[in-house]
Order: sequence, then structure tokens, then C-alpha cells
Amino acid sequence: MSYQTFNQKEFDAFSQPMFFGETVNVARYDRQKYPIFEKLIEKQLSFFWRPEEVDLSRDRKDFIALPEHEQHIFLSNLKYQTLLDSVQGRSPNMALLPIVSLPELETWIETWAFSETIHSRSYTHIMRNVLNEPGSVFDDIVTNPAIVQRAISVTRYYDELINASQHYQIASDGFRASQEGRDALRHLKRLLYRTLVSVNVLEAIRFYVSFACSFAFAERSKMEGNAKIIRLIARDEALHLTGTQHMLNLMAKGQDDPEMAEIAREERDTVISIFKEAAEQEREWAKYLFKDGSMIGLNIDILSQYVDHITDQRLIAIGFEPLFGNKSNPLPWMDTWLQSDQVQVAPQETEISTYLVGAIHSELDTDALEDFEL
Amino acid sequence: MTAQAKIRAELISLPAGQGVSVLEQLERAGHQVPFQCREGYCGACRMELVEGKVHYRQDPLAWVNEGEILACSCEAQSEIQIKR
Repeated sequence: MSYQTFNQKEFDAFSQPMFFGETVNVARYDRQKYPIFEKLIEKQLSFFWRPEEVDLSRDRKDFIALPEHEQHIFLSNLKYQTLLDSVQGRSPNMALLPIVSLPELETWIETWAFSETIHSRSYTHIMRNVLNEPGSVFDDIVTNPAIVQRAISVTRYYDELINASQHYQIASDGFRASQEGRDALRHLKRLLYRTLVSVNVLEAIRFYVSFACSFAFAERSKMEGNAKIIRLIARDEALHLTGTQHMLNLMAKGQDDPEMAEIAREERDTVISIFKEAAEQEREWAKYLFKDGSMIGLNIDILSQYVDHITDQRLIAIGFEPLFGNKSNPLPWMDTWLQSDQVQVAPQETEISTYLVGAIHSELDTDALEDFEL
Repeated sequence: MTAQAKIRAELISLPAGQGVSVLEQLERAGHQVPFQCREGYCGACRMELVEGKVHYRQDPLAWVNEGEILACSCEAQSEIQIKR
């Protein structure tokens, strides 16, 4: 039977697995199987921000003054992030909503994907401010081989899952009850597990090369408005990666769906190869970024070591051994940029021009107090 | 099977926190500890608790396995030993 937007059956919403149980009917949060997803929703909502809050007028001047190879680094990273958030703004919804079975998880997925659309809008905000003609930069995303190659790995698992799940949705009840149908469902679960691993890699590793470059510019007081936006994005991404880590760990533990735990065990080598491939691609990306020259504070070697370091951290978080053994962080200054209580969006703390204009015109000298008597 | 790296773990002893998080204690003692959010949702400062007990001011959002702690969000209740 195909997907029903409001499942008419009566069932215990509390006993459903995260995915592939009954489709959700009532969006209720009075009782929750996994309260963590409700907490993630609340946190994400508390993070709400708008790109327009960040003034980028100084970034335009900074950008014009950057040497050409640094402009290449800056724009290439923006293109890559635009690709990643184009995918993340829609794919969690497309792939996961038809198969999710818990209201709090369903709403987390929607909240998560919505925040990605804010990121996408922020890239347009940055490009509009920095460039006279941002169109060609966006156009290049679908033709640039260095980006396209990544697009394929980033979307492959999503597309496999979406395709297989669409087929399963229109299959008859008879097919689903047959051995073939049960095998198809198990295969779907496998594709889901791989997709979540690949999403974890996307949000937890792929973004970070780009983050490092943005913060390296800002360490030199260049492109600071951009860095402010990237900080807000990094804060959201840290929350999203926690979301997928919860899903993956809950699956591996097997209390949610015992079959999922079997699959998680069978897929260990696949997980390692997904992480390995991503780390290799990100190192390749660093080479592409620095093909015409490095930037102060960053080069291919140090960025590659950073990729190895965060890849290990993410693997450990989902119960795997590290791949590279690079324990110390080669870019310790990144941690300060990624620290969330440093993210400050109060008007007096940012470069919101209207606020600053007010401040400039508030200057007072002794002449103004000449006629003042007590 | 893929060859995987082993990270040499370091054992560290800390006294009771007395209002200071494990992460801050480690930093004050000069250890370089990975951190990001310092609010319990990113999981960057996750580490193994070998001995002792910790107390969380608030349940962290990040996934924490059994036997692990999130250094930014907890305080050592007595002397503790951690591995990182």
C-alpha cells in the first residue's frame, strides 16, 4: 500500500521502531519513545537565525583585495557548501519522512532540514554582497568537475534509498508478506543505515575543510561577516551530527529494531570505506583549493591532517576504531571558532550597520554642553 | 579487514570538581582537550571515565556511551580517573 499522509490504523505509537514501522499519524509529543529528538528540536529552534542579520559590507572590500588564488579558495568553498546544503535542505525529508515511524523523530527531521534551507539562503546572501554577478558562481556548481565528483558521493546513498523505498511503497501487501518482500525490507534497512552514515560524514567531515578556510580568513581579520555566518552554520551542523549519531547508535544497539543491529554489524566495513572515501575526497579537495597557492595559516598538509583528525573523532563517536591515529588537533584555533557561546548575534556585538550608524552619530564634545547649567 | 590506527590513551587523575567542569579542570591543568560547543550537544569532549563518579548539571544532548563522560557538562564528584 502506498504512503498514507494520515495513517488510519490504531496502533501503539510508543512501541514503533524509528523507521519502517507504522507511518506516523498524529503529530503528538505528549509521550515520546526517544525524548532526545524533542530536545534536539528545542535546541535547533533556540538557534534560529537569519542571514540578513549579518552585515557583509566589509567582506566585499576584503574580497576585492584578496589575491586571485585566495578568491578561488573562498568561492570554491562557498560553491561546495551550497551543494551540500542544497542536498541537506531536501534529502532528509525526501528520504526519511516516508519511512519514519515516530512523531518526535519525524519533526526532528523536518526541523533539521529546515535549518539547512537557512544555510542555503545565507550563501546567496554572501554571494550577493561579495560579487557583482553571483549567477556564474551558482551555475558552475553543476558543471565544475571538482564539485560534481563530490555531488555524486554525497547523494549516492540518498538516491539508492529513495529509489528502493519508492518501489517498496507501491508493492502489494502480498509481496510484502512474502520472503522476497521481507528481503526487500531488510535491504531497505541496509540502505537507510548507509545513508545515515553518509549523512554523518557529510555533516561531520565534509563541511569542516570549508569551515577551516573561512575561519583562517577571519583569523587575519578578512571576510569576518562570512565567518560569522559560517559560525552559525557550524553550530547547527554540530547539532545535526549529534542527531545522526543518536540514530546510528540507537540502531547499532538493537533495542529499537533488532534487525537494524544485525545490519549495523554486517555493515562495519562499508562504514569504514564510506569514511575513508570521504577523507580521501576532502584531501583531494584541499589540493584543488590550494592549486594556485596556499593561504596564510593553511596549506594542503595541515588541512589533510585536520581531515584525518576529525574523521577519527567521528568514527570513535559511533563506536569505531580511529583510522589514522592523528590524535592531536593540528588546527587548535578552530575549536575557539566552533565554540557556541562565542556566537554572538546581539546588535551591539555585530556589525549591523543601522546600529553602528546610530553609534557614530552619538559622539559628544564639550561644546555641546556649553550652555548647560545646574 | 581494514588496518586501523590505535591511539595511545593517556590516563589522567583529577580531584573533585567543586563547581568546575571536568573540561575546565583539564584545561587549567594544561591539557589540550578537544572541544566545540561547551554546552553538551556536539560531543567533541567525550572521554572515557575509568574510575570515580561525575554529576551532570543538565543531561547532555550528545550521545554518551556507557563508561564515557562529556567533559564540558559534568563535574567530578570525587577524585576521578579518565582516559583520553
